[in-house]
Amino acid sequence: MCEAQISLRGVSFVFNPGTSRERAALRDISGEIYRGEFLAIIGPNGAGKSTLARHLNALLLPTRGEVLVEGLSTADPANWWEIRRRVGMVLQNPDEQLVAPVVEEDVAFGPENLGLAPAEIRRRVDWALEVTGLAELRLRPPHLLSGGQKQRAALAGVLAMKPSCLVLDEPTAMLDPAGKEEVLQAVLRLHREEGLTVVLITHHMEEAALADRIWVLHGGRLALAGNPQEIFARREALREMGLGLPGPAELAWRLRSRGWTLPEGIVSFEELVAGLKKVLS
Amino acid sequence: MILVEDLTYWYAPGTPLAVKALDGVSFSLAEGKFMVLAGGTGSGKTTLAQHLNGLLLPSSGRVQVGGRDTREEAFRRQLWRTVGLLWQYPERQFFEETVYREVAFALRNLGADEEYIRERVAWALRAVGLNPAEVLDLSPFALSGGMRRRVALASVLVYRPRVLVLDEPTAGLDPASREHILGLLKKLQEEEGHTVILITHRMEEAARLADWVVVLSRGRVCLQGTPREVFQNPAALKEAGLHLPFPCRLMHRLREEGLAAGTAVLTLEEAEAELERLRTRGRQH
Ligand SMILES: Nc1ncnc2c1ncn2[C@@H]1O[C@H](COP(=O)(O)OP(=O)(O)OP(=O)(O)O)[C@@H](O)[C@H]1O
Ligand SMILES: Nc1ncnc2c1ncn2[C@@H]1O[C@H](COP(=O)(O)OP(=O)(O)O)[C@@H](O)[C@H]1O
Ligand SMILES: [Mg+2]
Ligand SMILES: [Mg+2]
Repeated sequence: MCEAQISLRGVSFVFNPGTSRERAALRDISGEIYRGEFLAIIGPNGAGKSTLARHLNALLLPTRGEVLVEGLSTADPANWWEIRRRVGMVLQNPDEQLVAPVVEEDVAFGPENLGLAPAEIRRRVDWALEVTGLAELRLRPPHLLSGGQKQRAALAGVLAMKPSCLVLDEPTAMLDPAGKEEVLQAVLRLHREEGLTVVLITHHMEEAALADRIWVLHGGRLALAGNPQEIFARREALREMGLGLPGPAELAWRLRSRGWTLPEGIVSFEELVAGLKKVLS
Repeated sequence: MILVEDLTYWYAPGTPLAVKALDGVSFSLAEGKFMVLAGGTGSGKTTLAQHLNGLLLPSSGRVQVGGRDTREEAFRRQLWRTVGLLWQYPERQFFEETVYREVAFALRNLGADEEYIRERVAWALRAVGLNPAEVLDLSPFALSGGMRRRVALASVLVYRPRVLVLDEPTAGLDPASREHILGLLKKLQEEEGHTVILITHRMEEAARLADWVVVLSRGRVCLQGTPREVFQNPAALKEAGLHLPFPCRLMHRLREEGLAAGTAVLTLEEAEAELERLRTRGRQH
């Protein structure tokens, strides 16, 4: 898991430079996203998460610094097509992404642009609709879908491109718990079984806890990086940034400060249950 | 205050695309209460919300607000003053060039004077956790997703409609802002008597805030009651695509593990107390 797939080198980004509406959204961010890893990005509203995501497939270009995708610099327009084929992106607002009159055409849109054979397109569309649980809604117009259904349709369209890295900007914000789990499980299965690199932006600490690593963005800077145990050990730092702990980690922290002997590093529900059973039985 | 009786709604009736989005929905809510409307994706929550301020009219059944039917044309045209609706995708609602104009819109429509508007807009922005000086002159589209959502909420709060119907207002907010907004809504309800209908699938929010919970599943009411009643029924919730709140789920799990945990636990604080009780009892044995 140590080959860098995407490298960020001193990336800064300024919206509307040189005007009164100038706004620095990213400040000197450096880091690697490794091939096959699951990286979660968390941070308060306005921290720069969506701006960073758009740098990963050349939708935005750094004001300073450099982004390399599998060695290809996003600064060179000649690389854009290849970069966007490899790095698929699901945007925060699915309306920006759904264009065709019915769902299945929307999902087919990407593969068609890749110039694939019709049979292969068919296979990919069926597969993407299946893993996102949309097979039944394939003939619905996207604008008649409910919020969560739209988000899954946008995801299906990106998956049908078979990217090697998937960037998801709050894909589950509108989904119910069952739908959230369905989408996350679909994504994580592709991650495990096909080595898909996953970058997940989320406000759900429970989702971030599932990742291999977490980046915490704050004020456009990469404030913390580490695995979930390391990140969620920093309760105070997170709270100062307007973030928190996953429910089980928070409860474990509170019980520990009441004198319970629970192991450090509890992040998941199952870890908490195991810890509580030891104390209580 | 709000009465929904046997409400059924068809999208595109009589066409091949016809969808029965609501099917015989009934509930009532007294003035000044906090209701959570929950349900899985596509269960009809947004469709129901749009009936409450007269944007949609029932295919059959009826909706009354303050004793008047939303089918009365004159009443319906005024209904937005009483029932403020925050859309699920507020970005779609934006049409002004600056955050100030966006938030001021309803008050301008009501003919308020500019100085008053200025004050109210600043209040509303601060109420949703934004700094007026920083955002007033920006385009709403130059804001991050979570900030846009807060601006949209400010543009509803600003004119203080008696009834607030909020379609997933906390989706996309960071944890601190979520707490802040929920605290604000509870305060508006408890201290100023607003009626609040909050749409959410976060059952933790329902557990902490609601006087009354209505759960939709495929356009029908599958559960309704106080939070404690509703969360005694994990199987029905699961059917509806929802989870128990984490503290309650934990207690159910500990019971399965053979511990005598009480399951009527809604908040983290109650979970702490219940676990302490179990620990002390364990020591005595
Ligand atoms: N089109 C734009 N023009 C000008 N400024 C912008 C634009 N888009 C974003 N910004 C600013 O850049 C900063 C970072 O925004 P970004 O959307 O990346 O935040 P985010 O971390 O994704 O937040 P959220 O959690 O709310 O989605 C914010 O200060 C925002 O106001
Ligand atoms: N404008 C529309 N036209 C046709 N069908 C719609 C429309 N909006 C929603 N629907 C359908 O109605 C049902 C309920 O949707 P909605 O009220 O948005 O659910 P929720 O808000 O609970 O996710 C879904 O099956 C959805 O696909
Ligand atoms: Mg964002
Ligand atoms: Mg909805």
